[in-house]
Amino acid sequence: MKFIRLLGRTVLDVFTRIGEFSIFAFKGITGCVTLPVYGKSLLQQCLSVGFYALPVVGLTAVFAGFVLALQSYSGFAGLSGENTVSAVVVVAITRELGPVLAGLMVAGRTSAAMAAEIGSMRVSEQIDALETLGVDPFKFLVAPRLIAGVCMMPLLVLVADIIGVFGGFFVGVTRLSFSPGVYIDQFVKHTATFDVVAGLVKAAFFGLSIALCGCYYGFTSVKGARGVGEAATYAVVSASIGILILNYLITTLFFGL
Amino acid sequence: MITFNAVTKIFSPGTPYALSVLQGVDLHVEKGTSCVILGHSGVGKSVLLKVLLGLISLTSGDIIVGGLSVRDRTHRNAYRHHFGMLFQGGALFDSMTILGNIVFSLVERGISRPKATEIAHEKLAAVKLEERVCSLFPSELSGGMQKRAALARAIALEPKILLFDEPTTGLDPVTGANITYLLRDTIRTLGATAITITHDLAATRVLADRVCLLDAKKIAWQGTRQELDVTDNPLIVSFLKAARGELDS
Repeated sequence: MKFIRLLGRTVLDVFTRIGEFSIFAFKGITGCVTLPVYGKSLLQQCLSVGFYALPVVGLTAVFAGFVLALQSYSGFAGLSGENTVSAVVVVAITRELGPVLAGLMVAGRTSAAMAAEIGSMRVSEQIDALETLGVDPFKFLVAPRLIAGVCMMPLLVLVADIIGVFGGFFVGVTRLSFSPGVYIDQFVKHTATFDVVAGLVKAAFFGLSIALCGCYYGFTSVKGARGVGEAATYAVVSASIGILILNYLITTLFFGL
Repeated sequence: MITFNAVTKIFSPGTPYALSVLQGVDLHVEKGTSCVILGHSGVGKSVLLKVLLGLISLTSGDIIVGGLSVRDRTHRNAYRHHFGMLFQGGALFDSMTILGNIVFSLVERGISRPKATEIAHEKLAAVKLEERVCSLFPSELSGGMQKRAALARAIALEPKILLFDEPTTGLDPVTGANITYLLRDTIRTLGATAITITHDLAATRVLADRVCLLDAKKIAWQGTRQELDVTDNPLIVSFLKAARGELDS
């Protein structure tokens, strides 16, 4: 009996959370398409989500490119398919690794920062103060972060794609003795606009997921400093899971698999 | 001016975690009077202010301010325009300077930026803060200065109702007394109606026209400042004894 009660309570809690999150997302997205727009806040968030995340995303992408070139070379050597290294690197980076790795890195960096910042505003009553002044916190706090997430993530992923492919090229030429001309020729041949666009669309959804999770857990944080820490943790975990689920769904949709 | 009608607040009603904080609270605060609400820690005093502001929704009952109901969401902004609130920790926006905090609140109500800046300087002078704090961030100020800056923000729009949540908590006695007198002068200057939440009896004596005691989820006692010293209500008596350091251990 006790087990059934516990199970029932857990199920109810999960559905309550899903309901709360859906309402939160609706209010946040509505805030993005209604006036006023807080330009300064939006610019700050664009810098935070995009520009300041460039080093970590770039570093991740370049090493992913290095490893991918090495692994595909050694993996395909037995099949006499060394010449496919360039194709494997470009397809893997643009379709999957660029968006997913950039998404996971930004989730760890930005989603936690959003949850911590909004969470500390919640526990120090700054959000209450905003409401008292007649300012809609969804428009002032949530909307700029959602817009920044959706707009900046594709740009970040585009940069990650370029850096990742360059990483593969660098290892291919310097360690695997490919001719630069042949590598580039293969690269151009296998680069598909559709793959790049699909990756950028994924990135926009990942940006939305990252910003929504960061804002939601920050907004609903309680219990002081401990609560803010928990909010940051939940934000990163749920944004990362969200990215993996969205990645599967969008891949299925785009590539008809 | 402010009427609480059978206000009840239960958090997570209908669940195993249900927590009843206010139960049928009735209270009337006349226009231009200053009401102090006393009560032990955790009794629901801050919740009372938050339901008044519409920051927490009511479970049942209603609050009417200037003819508007807190339940009426269509006039929520007009309702909130009655109030200026001094939060317990100041609640100044970390990402803005002190001047920015006040200007922001004014610009949001449609006042032009130059005019808002002028008003902000005036209000900072009114709460006795020097010009040099304008460009500082909240984290660079002491607790007392943060309270003053938050008060300047709260009165920037010259609201009809001032709400003070534990205005002297966390301050040394001298700074606390200075803040209390500043609040009293501000209420008088604006001719505002005020509700103060506190358990500081010294502040109560300075600020209160009427005193209410919140206990067991409702207003357990109310009277004038003078009646505070002659009542035989055991909770008030214990408050007075504790303030004199006479409470039995």
